[in-house]
Order: sequence, then structure tokens, then C-alpha cells
Amino acid sequence: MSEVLDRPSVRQKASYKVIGKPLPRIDGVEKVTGAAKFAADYSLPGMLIAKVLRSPHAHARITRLDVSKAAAYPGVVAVVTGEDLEGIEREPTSRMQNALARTQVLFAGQPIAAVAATTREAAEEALPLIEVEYEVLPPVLDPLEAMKPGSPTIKHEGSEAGVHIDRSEEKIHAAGAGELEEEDVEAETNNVSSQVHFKRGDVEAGFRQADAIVEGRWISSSVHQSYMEPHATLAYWDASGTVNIWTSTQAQFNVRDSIARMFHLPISKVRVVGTEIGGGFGAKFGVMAPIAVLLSRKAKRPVKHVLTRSEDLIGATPAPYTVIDVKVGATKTGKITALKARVVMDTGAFPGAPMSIGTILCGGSYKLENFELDGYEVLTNKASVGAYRAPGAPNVAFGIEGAIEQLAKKIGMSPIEFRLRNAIEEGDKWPNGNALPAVGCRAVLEAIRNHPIMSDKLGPNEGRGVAVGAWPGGAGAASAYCRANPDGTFQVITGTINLTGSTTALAQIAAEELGVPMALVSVVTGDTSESPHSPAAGGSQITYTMGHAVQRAAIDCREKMLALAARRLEVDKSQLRIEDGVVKASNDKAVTYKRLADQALQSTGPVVGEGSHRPGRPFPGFAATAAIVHVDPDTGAARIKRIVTAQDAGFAINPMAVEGQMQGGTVQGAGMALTEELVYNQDGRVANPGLLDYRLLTCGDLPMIETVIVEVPAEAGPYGARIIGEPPIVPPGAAIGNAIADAIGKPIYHFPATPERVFYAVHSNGKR
Amino acid sequence: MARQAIKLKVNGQNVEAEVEPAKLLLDFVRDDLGLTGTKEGCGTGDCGACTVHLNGRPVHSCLTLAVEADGAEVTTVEGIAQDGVLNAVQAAIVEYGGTQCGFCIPGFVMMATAFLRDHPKPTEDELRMGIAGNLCRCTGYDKIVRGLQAVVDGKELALTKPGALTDIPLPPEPEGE
Repeated sequence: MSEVLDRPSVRQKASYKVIGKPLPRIDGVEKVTGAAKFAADYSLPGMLIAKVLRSPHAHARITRLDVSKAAAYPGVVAVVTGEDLEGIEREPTSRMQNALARTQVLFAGQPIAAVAATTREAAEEALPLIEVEYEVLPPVLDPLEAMKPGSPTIKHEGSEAGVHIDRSEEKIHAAGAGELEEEDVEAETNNVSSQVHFKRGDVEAGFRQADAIVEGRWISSSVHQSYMEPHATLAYWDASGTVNIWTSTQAQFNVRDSIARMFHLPISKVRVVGTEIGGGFGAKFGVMAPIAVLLSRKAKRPVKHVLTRSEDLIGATPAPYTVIDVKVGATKTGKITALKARVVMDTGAFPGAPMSIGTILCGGSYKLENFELDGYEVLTNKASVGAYRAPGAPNVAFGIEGAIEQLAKKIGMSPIEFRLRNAIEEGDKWPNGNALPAVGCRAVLEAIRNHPIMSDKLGPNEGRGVAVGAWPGGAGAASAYCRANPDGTFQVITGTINLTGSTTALAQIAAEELGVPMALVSVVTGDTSESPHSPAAGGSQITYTMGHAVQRAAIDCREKMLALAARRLEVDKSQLRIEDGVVKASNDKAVTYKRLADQALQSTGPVVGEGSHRPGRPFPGFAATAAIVHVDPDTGAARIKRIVTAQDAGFAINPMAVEGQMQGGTVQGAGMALTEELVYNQDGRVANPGLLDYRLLTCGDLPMIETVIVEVPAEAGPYGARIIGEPPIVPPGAAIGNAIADAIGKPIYHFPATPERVFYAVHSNGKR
Repeated sequence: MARQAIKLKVNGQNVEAEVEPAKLLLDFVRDDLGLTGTKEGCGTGDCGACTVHLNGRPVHSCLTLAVEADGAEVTTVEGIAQDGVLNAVQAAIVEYGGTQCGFCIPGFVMMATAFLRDHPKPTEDELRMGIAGNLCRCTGYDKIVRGLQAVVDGKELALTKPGALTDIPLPPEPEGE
């Protein structure tokens, strides 16, 4: 089948009956009635509750561990420690595979032992009975310090030189990074787990051509994905040897594969039921699943492990603290002549930071003849990081977009014109050498330029800022079934987790191709043993990849139904058309899908359509944001007065859902810019492990979030659709930072721009 | 500690139970009554996902003991829709696109239902502050607020109509086939 199924013209778009329409989510009623079942809502007979003992120290050696008293506590059925990992597949640098520390503690909050008991109370009471003695080691918390010779070195248990680092999960999020050209520049640098270097042209010559140069260091703090549902897993290693796992994950097939590999099981012996998921944003790829599995294996009973919010903030996989040094030059006429950037990403105790893609995206939005980009992934004694919605991209955007805004002002050009003059286009290459297909960088900037927010009159202490950013997106293999039911309804069956409302888009696609109203199509997410293979709901890829598979399954189903109708109505198939679920023939005869499906059950057999798809390449998405911010001159508190995000959706299959993604991404970016920060004390402990002190933006902090959808069709996407979920988190934080800088007349270099930081930026050039 | 007998009404039904004095109302409704629509997002009263009505007032069930509900009427999200018909807050949140992952939504339904009952004509600022104790990570709140404004404005909501959740618009059988 050809790659390009459909690249809709304006006329085609107008003829669509279901796609392109802003329809409410098909799972909305389950959500507002409490019927939707999330992982922690599942229970099994005989189920035990798990609790985890975590290290209070950020860096230590375990010199003694005795769990005998805890194991003997009434109600306790099983206790597991690092010893229970014996015989399990274990790369030294894999956080998931090293679910429990054995002799080395590498971050405060790292699991040391886990208890399964008949009640939560018994499990909680047993934890303090576990005896642990530590030899406390000095931690290293600042990645810049960690890189220096002589700083404490992070050593993974069982690691030797040249260990393989598993980067398969990163590729799910950013297939666009392709084969990363990793070049060892200084292979022996302390605590550097990975390094990249990208170069084009001659930067020094480029800087000589520049009429103006901006240089600075931008820091973005570690933030937590803060999905409202903490990690939750219910595992049951049953008597037949099958491991059943109900878990909150974006990627049930990845969890299946990871657990099968870890425990040396055939994948037929691992069944993962990806439940409704209360937000993931990149963090839920199975990292917490092994503890419940280990406990269930030992206890021979179902075990439920739900993290508390505090455990999740301390011990899950936040987004990286990032330091980016930028030097960028331009001519008076607004041409960028050279860019030099150095990205240092704090990966915490295990590798896996989105450093490579972050470094590439330093040159993601602009035509660059001369650049030198260096990236360092640095180990520290903190919880290792995970993906967070366009991982790494907002962090580098603070620096790149902050510098670009300053540079535009320096050469006396409007920041948006300056960006437009250099905007990357089809055929231009990203720093890793990947040539871009048609992209909407220019289109989103134009949408912002033309928006009323750009001509709003600013009041006292108000500033305006803009920013642009991109995300490459994933491109996983997808398959789907479409089943015709004898009552005239249809069921689409996939194994993709409904993370973002993608099932609604999939239902729209199926309804469109089948020629029926949306209400006749339901979408079922099967578990990993019953559903066709599906990609992870990560890398913004479900509509882009699974959309094709569902389109093909629906077309296959429709064509089979039409073949039945042709025979029944005694006309050639080409003489048939479908109107609202009724197949009509040129001879004025007609038959409903209901009759056809029912007839099929009695004659040729049930009708099932199949669709399978593997995108040739990812299709990057761009977004741009403009913000107007008010800064209280007495307190430094910044408040968003107005904010607009424009995004290239390729083709918005469901504009309401696309807007929802844009608004959510914008506010998450705003949180990074204004309030969110995991604060580590000098011992390496998280000082704000609760949602009172880890401050998410509330409804009371925000205005309405305005959106502009632009559509530059993605050739490889269904109906031209491209990735949606991740691009809108990339520019908002930087745009807000630029707006604050505009309001106070001083740059902002450290995010979140808390009142304290803004106050000091105003009064003492950022120094306390 | 000795268990304590409690008698209460939950979603209109009489419930009698013996509970540990330290048992949270949240765990009582979820674990003992199987009403898992009420969610634990933080356990410290910061996120609002566990909001239920205790004698009509919205409370954090994660900060309320089950014994405090002795003799009280408790309503959870499962008790909001009546006879298969959504209330206006539920319908508006769905129709205006206010649900994404939906984990926070039961808390929003409970809080907004109580807030709009007590403050039927809030300004946008009042409405925002009225539900500011409920955190949502997916939506940026925009579509939740717009949905609730539609309730305030008395806009027609299709999902509040009887049969809206069950009727499927099958095409009529053509004649003469």
C-alpha cells in the first residue's frame, strides 16, 4: 500500500463528515461519572499491598541489611531486597532492571527493600523493622561540579568500562533523532555518561560576520511530570507461570517486553493490562513495575503497589535540571551567522536523559550555516530522569529562544520578524543531518505575528515575549482490527493506551471511512495478549501511526461489507455508495450495515477488517507562543495576562482535542517557567515532596489559554495529520521568560522565574 | 485499636460498617464500598481529586476520617448522575472537552457541583478561585472553566437529556430491500 493514503485538498476537507470536527471525547462520560478504572482501582482476591523502604541518603554503601524482623511481622507475606534480583537480566545502567539497590545507593529515595502484606497498615508498620546500615558517601548534586575531576564518582553496581547503555526508550519519543552521531570528545570526563557533538560550517568565521552577538547561560530546574495519578501497578504471577500486570502505563507492549526480558520469560507468559492512565507525560514506561512483580513471584499472590505522591516526587523519574550556554550572532539585516551551544543535562543516578535530542533541537528552528553544539549527559546523586513531554526541548528553548529574543532586540528588529527571517523550512537539515519534510515553523510564527496579542497595548510593568520550538515525534509500528457487529455498530480494537484522547480521533477515522455516524463506532483497548501490536503512547505518535492502521482496518472492513452488499443487491461493487450506515446501489436498492453484518454471521463468516502500518519517518511538529506577563515590581511575582499558542497540526482530526493538547502543553510549559522546581537540599534530598510546595499552576493562576491551529499537511500522516501532544510544551516557558525580561528590562537566566529570582534579577543583576 | 461502628448514607443508600478509627473516608469509600471513582492524587489535601460531599459540603476525603461521617450523608461522584442522566456540571465538562486523562475529574465534578449550587452566578475570576483547590495537569483548565461557564449561562447540554447515554442513532431499515 502506498505511503500517501490521503493528502486532503480544501475540497476534500469540506467533504469530511466526521474527521476535522471538534467532537467531545468518547470516554468523557466514563470520566465524569467515576466509572473509568485506573490501575489503583483494580483489586484481586487475596491481594497484598506493597510498601517500599527507600534510602534516606543520596550516596552510600549498604553495609548491612536485615529484613528478618519485618518478614516475621504479622500480616507480612513477602519481603524482597536486591538479592531477589539474582538471576534477572540486569544491565548495570538500567534503572528499571535495578529496581532495588544491592550494595550501592545512588540517590535519596532509591528503593532498598519492599514488603507485601495483607493490609497497607501492616506493610507500613513492617518497614521500620528492616535494619539497614549505611556508609554514607559525599553526594554530587550539581552536574557542572560532577564533571570536574576529583568530584565523587557515580558507579553503577556491576558496571565495567564500555557498558551498553539501553537507549531504546528514548527512541520511542524521538524517532526523528534517527541515528544519533555520537562522538566521544573527552571520553574520560568524570560522570559524563554520554556526549554528543554536532558541527557545521565555521562558527568563528560566522561570529566575525555578526554585527551583534548575545551570550549567556540559562538554567532550568528539575521538574516533575506531576501526572495526577501516581504510579500504580497490580501484579499477579499466577500458578501457571504467567505474569499478569495491571498498570498505569503509556506503553503496555514495552512493559511486556521489558518484563519478559528481565525475567527471561516468553512474551506469551507476560500479560500487561494497560489500564486507564491518569496522565503520564513520558514518565510511565514501566519503570515501577518490577517491584510488584518481584513481590508477587515471592508471595505467590497478587500484589498492588501504589506510590504516594511524596514517593512519586522523590523517587520516580523527573525531568532533568539543564544548563545551556548559548552564543549566537546575527547581522544587522537579521541573518543568524553562527550559533554555539553547550548543553549539560543532569541525568541523575542512571543514564537516559534526553540530551542528544535536546542538543539537536538547539538548531531545530532556524537555518544555520555555522554551528557547534555540544551535549553532555552527566550523572549525579539524584533520582534518574525520565521523559517529560518533548523531553529536553523546553529546557534548551529557554536558552536558545532567550538568546534569540535578546539578539533581535540588539539589532533593533522585532523578535518575531527576526525568527521568521531565519525560520527553518522543508529541505533544511537539522544538526544531526536529517533533512526536514514540509514543516510549519514559518506558519506558526506567522500565525502569532498576525494574532491580536502582538498589538495589545502593554500596561505598566507588563512585557511581551515570543518563542518557537519543535519536536520530531515517534514513528512506531501499529496495527488495528475493525469488527462489524450484527447490530450495525462497529468496534475498533487496538492496543494503544488512550493517553491523550487518541481513541476519539481513531473512532472518527473509522467512522469517516465506514460512512457511519461516530456514535456507531466504539474503540476498545485490549491488553497485550488480546490486542494487535501497538506502539507506545509516547512521542506524540498515536494519531500519526495508529491513525493509518485504523484507517486501513476500517477501509478493509468497509470493502468486505461492500462485497457482501454487491452480491446481495446484485450490482457491481463500484455502483455502491454509503450514506449514514446504509449501502445504496445505483439500482435504487439499499441495505443497512446491520443486515449485512448479520447476514455475514449466517453465511460467509464475521467481517473483520485489519490494518497495519509502519511510518517511514516521523514528521516533526512546530509550535510558537506569545505571552503577555505582568510583573509585580515589589514582589517579583509574574502573572500571565494573556497567552496564545499556535501549532501546526498538519490536519486536525479533532480540533477540540488538538486545542486541549495545546492548552495543556502551554500550561505545563508555563509551570516550568514560573513555579515548578524540585528543590534538593545539600544532602541530596528533595525538600519539597508534596503538591503544596511543589507548586503546580492552578486554575486561579491562569487566564484562558488561546490557541491557533495551522495546517501544513504531513505527507506521511493520515489525512495529513501530524504529531500533536509534545510541540505545545516547547515554546511557552521561553515565551513567558522573554515576556518577564521585557517587563523588567533585564534578562531572566534561571527558571522557574520565581518571585525571588525575578526580584533579584531586577535589583541586583540576578545575583543574591 | 477497637473498631468503631458507623451508620451513614452513601449516595442515598444506608450503610452500616465497623471501621478502624484511623481509617480515612477516602479508603472507606474506595476499599470498603468499592466506590473507586473517588481518587487519591496526593493524600495531603493539595490536589482535590478525593473531593466528596459530606452533608452537602465538599471535603477532602483524604483528610477526613470515616468515623467523622458517622450519621452523615456522603455523596461520591458515583452518586451525582441520577437515573442514568448526568448533571449539568458532568455534561458540560464532557461536551466542552474538559476531560483528558480524567483522573482529577471526579474531584472537579464534586467541587464544581457544590460551588455552583452555592454560587450560581460567579464571575470568571470567582469561578476560577472556586475550583482553584483542584489540580489538573492535562487541560490547562481552559475547557473545564468554559464548560462550567456554560452551566452558569444556562446553555443547553445534550448529555443532560434522558437517553443521551444509551440511545444509538442507527439508520432506519430501507424499504423494499
